[in-house]
Amino acid sequence: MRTFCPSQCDQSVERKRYDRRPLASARGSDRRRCPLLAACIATWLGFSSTVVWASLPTDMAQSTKAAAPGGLLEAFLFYTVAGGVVLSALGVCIAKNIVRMAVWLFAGLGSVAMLYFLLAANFLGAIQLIIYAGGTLVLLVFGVMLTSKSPWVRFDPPKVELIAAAVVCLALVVSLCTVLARTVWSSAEGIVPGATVAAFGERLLTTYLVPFEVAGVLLMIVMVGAAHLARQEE
Amino acid sequence: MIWNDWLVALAPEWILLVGACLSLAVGVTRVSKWASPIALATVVAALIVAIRLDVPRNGDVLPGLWLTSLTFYVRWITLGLGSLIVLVNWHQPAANERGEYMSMILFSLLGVLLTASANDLVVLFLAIELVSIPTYVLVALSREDARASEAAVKYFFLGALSAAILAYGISFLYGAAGTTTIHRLVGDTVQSTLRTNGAIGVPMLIGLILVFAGLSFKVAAVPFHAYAADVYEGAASPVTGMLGFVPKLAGFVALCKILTALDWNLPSEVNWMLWIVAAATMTVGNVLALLQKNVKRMLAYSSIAHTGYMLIAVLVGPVAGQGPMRDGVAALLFYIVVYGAMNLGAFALLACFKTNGRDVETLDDLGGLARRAPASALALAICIFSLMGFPPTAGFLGKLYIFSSAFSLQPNHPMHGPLIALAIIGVANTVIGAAYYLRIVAAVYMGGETDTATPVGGRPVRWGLALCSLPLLVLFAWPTGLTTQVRTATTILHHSIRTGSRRVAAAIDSVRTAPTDVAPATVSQAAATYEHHANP
Amino acid sequence: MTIGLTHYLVVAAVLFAAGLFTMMTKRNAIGILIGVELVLNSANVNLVAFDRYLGPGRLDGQITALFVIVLAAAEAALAVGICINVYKNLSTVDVDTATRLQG
Repeated sequence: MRTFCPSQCDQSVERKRYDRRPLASARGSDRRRCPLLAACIATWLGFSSTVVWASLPTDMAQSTKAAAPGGLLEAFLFYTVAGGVVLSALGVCIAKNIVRMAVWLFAGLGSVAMLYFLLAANFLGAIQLIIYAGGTLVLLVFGVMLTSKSPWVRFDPPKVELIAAAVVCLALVVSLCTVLARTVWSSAEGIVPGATVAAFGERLLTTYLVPFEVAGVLLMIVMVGAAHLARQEE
Repeated sequence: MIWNDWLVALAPEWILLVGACLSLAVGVTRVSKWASPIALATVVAALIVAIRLDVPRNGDVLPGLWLTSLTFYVRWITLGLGSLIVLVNWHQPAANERGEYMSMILFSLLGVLLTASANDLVVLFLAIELVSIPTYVLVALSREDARASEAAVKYFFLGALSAAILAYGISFLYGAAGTTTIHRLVGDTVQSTLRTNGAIGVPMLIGLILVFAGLSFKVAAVPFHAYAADVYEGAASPVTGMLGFVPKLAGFVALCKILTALDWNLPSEVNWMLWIVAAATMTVGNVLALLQKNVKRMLAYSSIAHTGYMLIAVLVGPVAGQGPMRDGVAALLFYIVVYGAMNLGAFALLACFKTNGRDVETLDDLGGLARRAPASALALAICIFSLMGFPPTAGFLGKLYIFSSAFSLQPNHPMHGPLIALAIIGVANTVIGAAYYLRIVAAVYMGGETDTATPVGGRPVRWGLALCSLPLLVLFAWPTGLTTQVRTATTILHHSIRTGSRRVAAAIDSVRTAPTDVAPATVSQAAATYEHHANP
Repeated sequence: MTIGLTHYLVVAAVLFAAGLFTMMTKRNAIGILIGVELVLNSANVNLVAFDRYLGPGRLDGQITALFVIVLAAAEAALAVGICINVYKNLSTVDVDTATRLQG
């Protein structure tokens, strides 16, 4: 990770070049555009969730067909939602403003929730929306607000570094996709029992009891640790 | 298993959990200075229970937890060295945050125990996070210094990335195997995706590489080692002693578990990747350590180098029926204990003294320590000689076992030639390492007098230092005690490899579903039962 | 034009690379955390897709994904705590400004 590698370059020289500088000209437009962007994303999420929900079979509790709505509609829904995921992921990459990144992340998390609905993982989709988009993201925005003097912090890493990172990541995507596309997966198609919340809860308290408890301990540690680190000195 | 059984089998874990909560509770009261004794009592109690525990050395306890002989060994060394870690950290935290601080150490140790008994990828993942997350908090809490919070930021964000990469890798392992149960990674749904013509399939390969990348952060192997020096320098010395051992142990145990599930039958890509990583880790660690003046940074790079030596042992893998002289995993298990003790000892010495009101960090700060505190200096010298791999210490035996296991590999082993080359690189690196380790010893014994070094930390740290260094001498004179344990610990690996984990997995499952009241206690019995069922 | 497992895996791979790119280029601690969240989401998409196509009805993948979400929430909370802690000491969360340790 280049960011943490002190020995690779003289950071003191470099730091001056992309110091935090709220660009005066960009400031006003950012303020105007950010809420607009958020509104667009929210509308889009609302629209797509309605479409996805409408297309799902109504008897989710009993069973789900393996290839959900099937055919062209499924393809259309998938490409819409996946397009949303990829677009917002790219948005996070390109955004130079921390608040914008958070907004794009919000769009991405919402679209991933739509993917879960398409994959017939309804409960997980709801969890994704409530905990991830609702909780974690709010926490992130809190972090931005609490820690940065100006919320419109910008960062412009040097071009060379940007290009290097882009090349590495593109190579990664291309190689991963080629390999994955060539793999033949033995998929178990057919009618499967729907993933009801009841089944979920039962597995959580039987087969997955140990991780459930460990997750509880983990959350307690984080609560204690975060509260302790963030406390005011008396 | 019925309620009582798993409560007993997991007794050390329970004790640690209760003790950690207790020390948290004490931390908010006015008697918060009692947190350290409580923590020590907890770890020692857990250690005694773990040693005296009379349960089958093989068997699943709860879904997702499977006790093996390896689990028991890891329990002993974690709790044994854990008590030393508590001793060394005794007076480090301010009195009002001692409760939180000690409970974080205990939670981290609990994570190692769970890693050692995990038999499910989910449990393994969460256990490794249970090891790491308290360490992030510990680094930030360790001292009232901007450098500590800075180190915590670096450590945390790289750790979070490693967790994410680990999760991505685990998703591929799950996809390739169709199950999250570790011992069935190969055994369960042997699909075209998993093995083609006896080789591991592509998804499994991607998963393995990603999991290895994720674990590389924990063990500080080369492409992901960059955080180590900054974090070790930023955190207070007692915490650094812990950072060098606990996450590394968890990482190597997790690696052993996953590789055992794959019969240690690694595809040549993974073998070569490990080879390159091991060679680079040793060399980078030792060369960069040569350039340091700060003892903590020097020891940080030395800990990276030691990861490289341990990776040689991972690459050799288990050799059935042999002791640590030939068996790579046994050598690894021996080395990691010795490494934990000598590393902790070196940092414990730094925690024993202060100069001009700040922590001892540079070689100059240590100058002439031998005249002022001969006993501490001697303990440091033992630890440093052990790190160097010099004869009258256990560090020598550890290195000997690792290198000899590489040299004595069967000629038909696919990596026979490359591993010998790697061992030679290792020996060369030991020589490079001697150069900077000797600088530390020279500073202590021959350096100019520093009048400013004042002893701090009280008695517990000195006890910790003594208990780290003395066993290094004892182990050199009498290594049989530990090597026997190591040999027992690796039996399960050997067994699963000889019979093929697929068959063992099937046997275990047949036993699980069989409508008998008495389940066979050991895998060998289970396998025998299975064979009996298969060919009556 | 059937949508299969591979489609979902490709989406996850794109998310993974985007997360890594974000980690490599953003200097702000919260920005790096956003990258981590993307990578964790890619793992989740993978898990749920495998669960759907390889072992439907057994919920293994979905439950693993649930735990990953829990972990993500925990890490976000700790990240805010650590950021506030470093901000108290250094008055910035810019990773590059925190250079006291380098050398």
